[in-house]
Amino acid sequence: MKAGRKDKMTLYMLRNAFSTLLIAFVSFMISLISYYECSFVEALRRLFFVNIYTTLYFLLLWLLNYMIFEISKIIFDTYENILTYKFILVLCLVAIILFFVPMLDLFQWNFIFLCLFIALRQIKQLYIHKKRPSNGL
Amino acid sequence: MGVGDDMNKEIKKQLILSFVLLTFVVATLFFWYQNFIFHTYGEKVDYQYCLYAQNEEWQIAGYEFYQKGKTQGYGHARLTPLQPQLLKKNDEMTVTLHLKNHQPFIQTIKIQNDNQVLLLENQTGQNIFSEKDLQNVQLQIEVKRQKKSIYNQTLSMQKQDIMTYTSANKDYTLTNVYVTENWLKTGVFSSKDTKLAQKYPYMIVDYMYSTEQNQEVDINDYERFVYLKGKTEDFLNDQVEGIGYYDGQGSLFDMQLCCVITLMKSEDDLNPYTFTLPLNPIQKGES
Repeated sequence: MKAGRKDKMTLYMLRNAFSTLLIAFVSFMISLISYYECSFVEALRRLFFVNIYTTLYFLLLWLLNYMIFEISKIIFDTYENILTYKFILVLCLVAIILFFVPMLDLFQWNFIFLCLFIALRQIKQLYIHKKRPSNGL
Repeated sequence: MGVGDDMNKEIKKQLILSFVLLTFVVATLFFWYQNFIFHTYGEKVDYQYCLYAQNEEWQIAGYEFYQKGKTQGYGHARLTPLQPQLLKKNDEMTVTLHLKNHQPFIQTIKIQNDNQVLLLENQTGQNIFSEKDLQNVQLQIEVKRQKKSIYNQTLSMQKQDIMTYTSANKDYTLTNVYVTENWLKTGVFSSKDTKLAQKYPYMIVDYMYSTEQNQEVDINDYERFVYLKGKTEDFLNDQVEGIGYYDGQGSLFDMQLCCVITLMKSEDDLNPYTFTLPLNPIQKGES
């Protein structure tokens, strides 16, 4: 593998890791702020400084997000010719359905954001980098 | 050409590995779910304020205003006379709290002993208090002896800083312990064990403080501050509450606080299960 391509891959992986981290973080913040009706700073304290269980669960959710995102990339890139826009439509539909599913709001927001993020990435793949060969980035 | 043919072996391997890892992560999230909910979404209190006043004759500590779910309340303050002969047996004392945007709250107390330390009753009602309501709060104290007014003074009440303390180990949590410099309101005890009340029907909760700044917690350094004893079920349902007033030197914020929990199989269990939960501040309360 060429050095330039390797750097690009690291950059993409970092971007994906950061995005999925942001999704988990924003979902936790929304959930804690709405539950405790508290400020952002207080929710931040509750997430990182109150107990280790909340923080660990946050990190696990981030890991889950990252893995789902990576798997979605592999699937989409493999079946790119067949799935095209249908995959994006399905993701948007799942996000809408999730909004009405009675579950913990943390998971609701997390998976809605994740679906939208995966959809955005696929739109980018389809329309912006249409000519780029499938490379799993 | 079949879809499966498109997928080369390398991608298949990646996918299988990813799904195996995903299963591990999902299983961990699933099995930790109850634990996470227990530690993350505890009981919440909508507001908690504490007022304090002192002049040459009186010290008024822990006048609280709170909202807990659908219950709003106020009162619970301790009035300490600082001068001898200020209160005599059979005096009648009227305590009136003047608040912005609210009717004055009047409580009348019959004095039972000379220089009695008074505890105002906790009053519940429909009134909801905001921070604005608690600016310029005045407390009027009138003492009548044989129907003649012998003392009538108004004190200006100051809102105190409140810190919320909490503690947790793997199975038990203690949340919403409110602390000011010289006042403590006990918190909510909860357990992951749903059958705790059946296993240990009675329990004691001791709130302790220590002026020692050692990192190592030695229970002998601690002084008992609040003592609560009752049915475990009542503790778990947040029906047991206590207030502690600290009269020593310094501030409670500078001290180490801890809680000793004693779980008992009967009211006079000689071999109870005892453990300590160190209390740590997590945030400044609504102040």
